[in-house]
Amino acid sequence: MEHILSILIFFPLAAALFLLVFFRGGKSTMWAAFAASVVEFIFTIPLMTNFDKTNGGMQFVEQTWWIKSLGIQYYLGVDGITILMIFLTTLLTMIAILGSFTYIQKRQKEFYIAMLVLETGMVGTFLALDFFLFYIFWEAMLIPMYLIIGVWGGKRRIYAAVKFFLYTLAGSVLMLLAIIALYYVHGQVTGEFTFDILKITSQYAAYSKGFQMLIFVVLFIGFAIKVPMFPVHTWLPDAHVEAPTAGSVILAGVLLKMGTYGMLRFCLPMTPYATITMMPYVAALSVIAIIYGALVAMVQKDIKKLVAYSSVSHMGFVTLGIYALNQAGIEGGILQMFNHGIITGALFLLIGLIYERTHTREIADYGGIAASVPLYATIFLIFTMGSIGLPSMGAFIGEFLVLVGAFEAFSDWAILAAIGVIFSAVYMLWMFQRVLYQSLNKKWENLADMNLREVIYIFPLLVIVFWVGLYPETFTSYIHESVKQLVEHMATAAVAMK
Amino acid sequence: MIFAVLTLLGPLVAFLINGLLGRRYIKNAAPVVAIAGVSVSFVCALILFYLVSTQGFSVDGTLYTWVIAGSLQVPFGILVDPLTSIMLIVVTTISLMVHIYSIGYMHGDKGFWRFFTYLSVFTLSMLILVLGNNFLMLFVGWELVGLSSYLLIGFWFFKKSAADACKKAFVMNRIGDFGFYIGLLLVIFTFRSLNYSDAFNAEAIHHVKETTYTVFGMNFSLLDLMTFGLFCGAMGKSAQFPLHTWLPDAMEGPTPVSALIHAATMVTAGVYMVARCNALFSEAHMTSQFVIFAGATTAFLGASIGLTQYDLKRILAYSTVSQLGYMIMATGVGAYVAAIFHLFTHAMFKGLLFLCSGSVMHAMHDNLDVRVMGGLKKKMPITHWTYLIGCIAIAGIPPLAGFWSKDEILAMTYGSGHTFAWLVGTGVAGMTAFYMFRSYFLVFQGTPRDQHLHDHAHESPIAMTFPLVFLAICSVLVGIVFGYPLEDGFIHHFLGPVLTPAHAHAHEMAHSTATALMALSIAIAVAGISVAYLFYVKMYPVLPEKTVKTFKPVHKLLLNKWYFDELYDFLFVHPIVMLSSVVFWRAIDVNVIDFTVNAFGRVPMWIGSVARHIQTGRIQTYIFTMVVGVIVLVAFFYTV
Repeated sequence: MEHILSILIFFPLAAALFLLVFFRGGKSTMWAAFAASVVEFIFTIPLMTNFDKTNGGMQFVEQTWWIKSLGIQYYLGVDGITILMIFLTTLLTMIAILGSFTYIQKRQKEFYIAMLVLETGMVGTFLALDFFLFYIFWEAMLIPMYLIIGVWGGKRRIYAAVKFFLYTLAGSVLMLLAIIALYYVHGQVTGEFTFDILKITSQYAAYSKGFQMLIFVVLFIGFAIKVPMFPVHTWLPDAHVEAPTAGSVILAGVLLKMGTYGMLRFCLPMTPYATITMMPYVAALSVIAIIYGALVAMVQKDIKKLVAYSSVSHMGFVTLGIYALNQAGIEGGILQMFNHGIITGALFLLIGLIYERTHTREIADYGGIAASVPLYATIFLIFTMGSIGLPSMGAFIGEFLVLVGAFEAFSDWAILAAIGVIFSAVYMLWMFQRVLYQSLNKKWENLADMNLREVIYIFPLLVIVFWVGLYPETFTSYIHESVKQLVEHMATAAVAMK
Repeated sequence: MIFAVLTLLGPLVAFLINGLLGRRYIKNAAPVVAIAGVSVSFVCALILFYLVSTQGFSVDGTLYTWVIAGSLQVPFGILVDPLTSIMLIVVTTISLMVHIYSIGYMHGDKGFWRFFTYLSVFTLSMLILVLGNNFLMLFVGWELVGLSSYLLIGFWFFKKSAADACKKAFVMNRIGDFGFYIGLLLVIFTFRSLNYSDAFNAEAIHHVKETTYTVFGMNFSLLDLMTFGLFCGAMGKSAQFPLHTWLPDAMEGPTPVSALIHAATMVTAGVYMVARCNALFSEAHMTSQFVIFAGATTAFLGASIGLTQYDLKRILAYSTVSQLGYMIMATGVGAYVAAIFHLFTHAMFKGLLFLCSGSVMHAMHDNLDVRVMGGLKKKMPITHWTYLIGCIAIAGIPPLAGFWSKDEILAMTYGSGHTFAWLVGTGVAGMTAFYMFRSYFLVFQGTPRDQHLHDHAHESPIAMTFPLVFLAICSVLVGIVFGYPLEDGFIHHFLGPVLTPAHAHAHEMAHSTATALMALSIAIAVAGISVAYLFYVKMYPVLPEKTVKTFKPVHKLLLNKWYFDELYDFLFVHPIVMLSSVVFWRAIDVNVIDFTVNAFGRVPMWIGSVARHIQTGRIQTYIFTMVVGVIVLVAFFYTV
């Protein structure tokens, strides 16, 4: 258990190297990559079971000097906020790889290597507690994702990949500036130059309000691009539409959460004064994202684009909850990050597998296929309802917690956000109707229903959706303590501010 | 507790078995599983009713803690009290009858097993709705019945009209649920709990009576705002004006579904909710006024449209809308017992009427237009008699069920001083009698108007007629058994303790007034029936045609349902779609934001394309540039 976090980070990378050297593509490569991702997922199980839920701090910490002269450490740790994200990452990577077997036809070996390298980047980003290390993983994640969109994507893949890259790079550069500024200011204040995230956080009181505001804005824009929040969201629809299924799943399921994770880990605790001041503005932006995302989703003609815009709307709930700065809101935000990963991931998989059969994503090309693919229709309906936030499924609990928290913090914004529950029903059901209901388009009379492999990779997501909905405590019990610490931290800062 | 849990488990297990194994293995045996499930619930409901009514038994327990939101803990909890037990009886009885009926009605349908799976989902959801001990459980049931309704209206999903209708139903309900959600949040804000026991605490309510709450800078009474939010949910679910338009469209679903969900049980959930929250509503005076307004308006709108429709199921649907208006109106004037009583009787006779219409539809090869029917009484004796009983019951002729509850609502409305609402209600009673008998005369009496269809008509199989007879018996008896003597019957003693708000103003009505009101409502009903007889038997088709000609604009307005659908399309649907598509997406997303982003991409490319000309690869150019550069530099340094 001592080095479990290092193992979690570097096992996929090692597997990727192994693939690179010993495999030549074809079936064996796929299975090897899948096996590696399964092993990686299994590694998270002891992590989950040995995690001490009563401890809100960092656990399984690994800490050694890396470049001592610059104060850079190899510093890893996991707390309640990250552990669910780790679980989500390894689960979705495994599922995305299994879901790519027939979808990816060219350069298979390279694709699976990219997926595994991506996994290392993602897990590393969540676990790093050193700013320098964090930044390296953050950037390392960008490259395989860029390749996945640019090489295995659709017709406009180059445009989408470049757009994705530019947007994200802009975010990264802003983040880098903030990191360097924090490094120097912390050094000046304490005399110790370090990239240690926890140490930099603990000195928040020493940073002036103006400096906090500056850092907050810079970091916030960087993370907002990733979330994505209005108005820096336009890379998402293009990236999603062009990316292959696995790319969309990882993008929606994990990469978007990097933004909100960054806010939780950096914006809130490091610059609490600025956070408290900016709270209402972020709430306003979140509400705009919720309603704007939903309305734009409603008029999309491409299924994938519709789901992409719906992500903007759903992630708006996450930021709304986080910036409510109370227990219910933040817990709801985190749970909603998790739920969105599961549900939207599943929706992208479902869209992908039907695309493999029909080679179209235009809503108008479909119609009535529930008659030819009943099993598919049932599962699609379940996740559609999950996305709408039907009680008994996960997203309902997340939204409920977010709204309870937000209502306490800024009731008017919460009321506006609740309008989102109407629009989500409108766009999802309208799409569902045009794709699966109504008269059957003759072209799809003999469409094949889901096969065993497809059922297998959707099944875990199905179980989790209901699990979260019916007994959320299994998942929220991990985050209670960490969130409590964060809320207390913010409360102390708020008192100090006055 | 065990019986309450069993009530839920029956349909749950049936749903799981049918849902997982139905397609491959169970197929046509699906009704056996589903009926077994609902029978368990039915028996448990009877036992619970017996225990509650004879021993004052009650349960308010927690199965497990469901959601923890900061300091707020919401249990997955169960409440059994007189109100619950009455609702359980209604739900399980109608559900069981509809299950049996569906064996005959859905026979031969491709989705036979699927239908029964959905029915189990519905029964389960409805039971959760009535059994929950807190607002969140209520909301879960609330949303799940919405889902079942979506699935069942869209059961024949390949029909565009059905697919449209199910979406419309869900979305209209969601609009109401938005309000409900806000109500929930205000309940949490006020009581720090979602449990009924905490929220309906007289002391706590007294405490917040005068509190105001600010929304968007406007001050409202907290209780009014909270109950108004909750009532929005009821407007959606119980199809109250202005959210009533989905219910008639919901008739696209199979007829047993219309009987179960869109007449007897689900649509009455709003009434149940308001009655359940009577402690809050009775203190919220502004909301109560609005509730009366919404109820009376709906009652009138529904009845007025019902006068002109030709589709048998639509007539019944508008009648349901109108009757729901009665119930809501009753809750508004504080007559909660009367509202639940009417819910109970209405479930019996409206369920019966819908099932009869299904039987007619079966005989008429899925034709529903009353203009092609006529003279069916000889061909379908059981359907004919049971339909007639249903009509008498709904028209309010004693001693059948409808009379007792409807009369009580009207009397209570009058007694509480809402004379105008009472006037509307009484007028609607006459209209109801008229249009129900209009449909009866057109369908069963007179001469066949389509001989071919008539020749092929036949009575339905036993699986369908048994529920008809059963419900007909209920329609005759439940009123007098539960509601006699007026305002002092069994149901009043039974529900009184839970449904009488602490401060209830005892309206002492003179005996003579009560008798006069009763006589008036009977007279109105008889008048309605007589007019229908005159129009559709004696002077058919001359008189109806002449009337239509005389009142052409009014007739057109009513036939087109007051143009609500068109109005909503014009006011909301089209503008929102245009705004989203043209302004938000095409203008802001594509032309403003993306243009800016692409510009950022183009600037470096433009710089690159300019800078490219410098690197020509010709030595002469480089040397020339270098010399010029050196000269410029030298000159620069010497001059400074």
